[in-house]
Amino acid sequence: MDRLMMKHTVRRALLLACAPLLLGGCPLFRDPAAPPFADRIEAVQSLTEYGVVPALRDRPEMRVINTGVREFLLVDAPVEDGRLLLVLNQDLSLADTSFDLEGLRGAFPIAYDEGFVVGKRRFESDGTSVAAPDVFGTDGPLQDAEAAFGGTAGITRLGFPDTAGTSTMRFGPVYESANNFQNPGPDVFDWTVLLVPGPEEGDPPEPLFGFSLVTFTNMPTPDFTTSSVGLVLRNDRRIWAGSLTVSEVSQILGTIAGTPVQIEGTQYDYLLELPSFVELDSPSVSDRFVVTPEVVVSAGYDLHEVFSRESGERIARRSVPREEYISYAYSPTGRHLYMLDTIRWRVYRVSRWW
Amino acid sequence: MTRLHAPRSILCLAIAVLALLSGYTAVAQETPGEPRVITVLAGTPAVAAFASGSADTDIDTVEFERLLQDLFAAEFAAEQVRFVAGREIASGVHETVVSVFVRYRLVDTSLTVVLALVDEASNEALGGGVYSGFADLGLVRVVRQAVADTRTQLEQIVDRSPRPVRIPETLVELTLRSPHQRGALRFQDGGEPVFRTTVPFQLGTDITLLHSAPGFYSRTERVRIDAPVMRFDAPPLEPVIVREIVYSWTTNRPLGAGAGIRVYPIPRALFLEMGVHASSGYRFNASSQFTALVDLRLNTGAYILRSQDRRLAASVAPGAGVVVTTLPAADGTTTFADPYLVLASFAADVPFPRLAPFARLDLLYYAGGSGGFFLPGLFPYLSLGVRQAWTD
Repeated sequence: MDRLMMKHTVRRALLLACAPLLLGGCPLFRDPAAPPFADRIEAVQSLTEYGVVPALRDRPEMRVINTGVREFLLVDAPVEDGRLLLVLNQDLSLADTSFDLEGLRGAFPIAYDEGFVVGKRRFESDGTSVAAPDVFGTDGPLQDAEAAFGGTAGITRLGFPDTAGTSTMRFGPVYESANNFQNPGPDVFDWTVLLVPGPEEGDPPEPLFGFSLVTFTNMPTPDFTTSSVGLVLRNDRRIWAGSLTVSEVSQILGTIAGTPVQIEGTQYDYLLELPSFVELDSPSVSDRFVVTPEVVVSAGYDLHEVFSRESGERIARRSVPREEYISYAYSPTGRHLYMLDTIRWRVYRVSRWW
Repeated sequence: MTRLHAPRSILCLAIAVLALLSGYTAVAQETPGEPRVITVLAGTPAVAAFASGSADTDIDTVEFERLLQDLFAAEFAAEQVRFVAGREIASGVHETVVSVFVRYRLVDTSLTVVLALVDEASNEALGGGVYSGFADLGLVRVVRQAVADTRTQLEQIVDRSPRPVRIPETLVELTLRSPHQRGALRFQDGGEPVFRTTVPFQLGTDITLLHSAPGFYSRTERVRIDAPVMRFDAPPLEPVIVREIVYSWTTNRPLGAGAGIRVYPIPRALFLEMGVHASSGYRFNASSQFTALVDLRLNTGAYILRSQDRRLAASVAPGAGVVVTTLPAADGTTTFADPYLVLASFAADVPFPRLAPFARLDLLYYAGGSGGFFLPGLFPYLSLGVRQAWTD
């Protein structure tokens, strides 16, 4: 028996011996005061070393950006004279600081030189901010019903008109890199999204009463010619999740509306088919989701749930302390979770728990 | 098969022969459907001649009396009057003691036999008879007639005999034993120990004893006197414990164990407890790491309840402590310290003399200091364990 096998055997024996005690995570067998996932902490960093001044009742915002090459944790934190955006590397060292960028709603990566955008400001591949004109020109940053993804040619906004009865996703406009991400083109196309086929052939696509965008995730892609955006859509009380991956944005936007579109060998007419959308199995009331290549994570107020991207079934759940003490941000890779102790302003990087 | 019956059927007879002063006692045994058996104790019937004890005859008197005794013995046996050895039936225990007097007169071959049944207590004649015949072949008939009549009269005496008087039995000897060296058991009268008692305790009486031994809590024991000769082995006393070693396991930190010491400034009332609990947050998963927690605690507590049967005790023990947490993070171990207050600690014990298994619910308050790891707030912890008396 080799050493690895012996190790596995010992671990299995220990697990069997202790399984009755651990009882699958029964609260009786957990330290109620310990932060969640305490046994999975890989890195620790106090943000007070970066100038953060702990403030009572401050609700920080965190978001994880993964460009496919590097991962950054963005923290919107209070400092002595205002608020500060901290850009932390994956090892929680400081990559850059920028002053208040009005929240993190518009944080998403774009593919130019592996960088990313927060609000309207661009950042380099090493996480440092770029002294360049803001993206989007005179247009505002992303709004609640908007998403975006980047490619080699530029940044494309995705609109989800919040109109009852519509199942429309609006592509465009596109802010081309050639124009320094300013002066978008005029083309905007609306596409109807089919979440599930109708019960009978020829039926109109469901849902009939439309959907709204809950959140989006810029998913890491293996190369910079491909862009992928994870989308979570709400339809009445049903939650749908999926991703849209395009290899060449301009191919879609250059097509005249109503003309069939050819994407990677599949022909689409006015109906843009997104076969990876699945309905999530009874998620808790949450509007915070992260779409990863394999799972969808719902980060609720005191309950985190993990759903399969393939079937929509819930595969794991975990009660967590209330967010007034701990803030959470999941990596789009699904490999990490970042926790911020808002009492002490300390960040933990935690390995995947499900 | 015959067996000894209820006291109502028991009759004690003393059969005495005047000349030899031999006494006999008997008991009657009866089985439904069978003849009543009267057992005669203390030897065979003896026979004596009256009229100066000599017979006016040529017959050898000694031989004749032996013959007559044998005949009476045989006839009593035939009439279910059985002889056994010993004189074990005492007057006062049985209903009636009757003496049977047998005398005879022999002139030539003319024989007269006189039997008298006399109550030995009152000397009252209860029965008897005179029987005549010849001391030849007719001798058997005379004896048989006398025994048959006597048997009938004995049965009537049995039937008329009053119920036996039960004499209250009293304690004769009581041996008291304590399992402890230098242990003592004393009678108690009105709560005060009595070193010696002359009271003849009747059977069925409950008496109170004070059981004491150096180093143990005294305790009263109630003993029922149920035999004239008794022995009482007192159960062990609860030792006076001033120090204990505490072993514990906290369900909320399953991979760990605790140990401590408890000191009682006032035994069974007030205590101080110091303890340490070491554990790990490892969860047997691939990415789980061996986080280490060391919990140091000091409690002061008091018992608020002790059941009368000493099977349950409850205490509260507020205190304070600190948890030192070490995380094996990738960039080196990181250590945190979380001081806390034990706002309440409720414990239920099962106090055996030397071991006390317990269950304890602690309510810990973490302030959430800057150097800490734990969340601030009030949290419950459940612990199970056992305390072991620590004696020199």
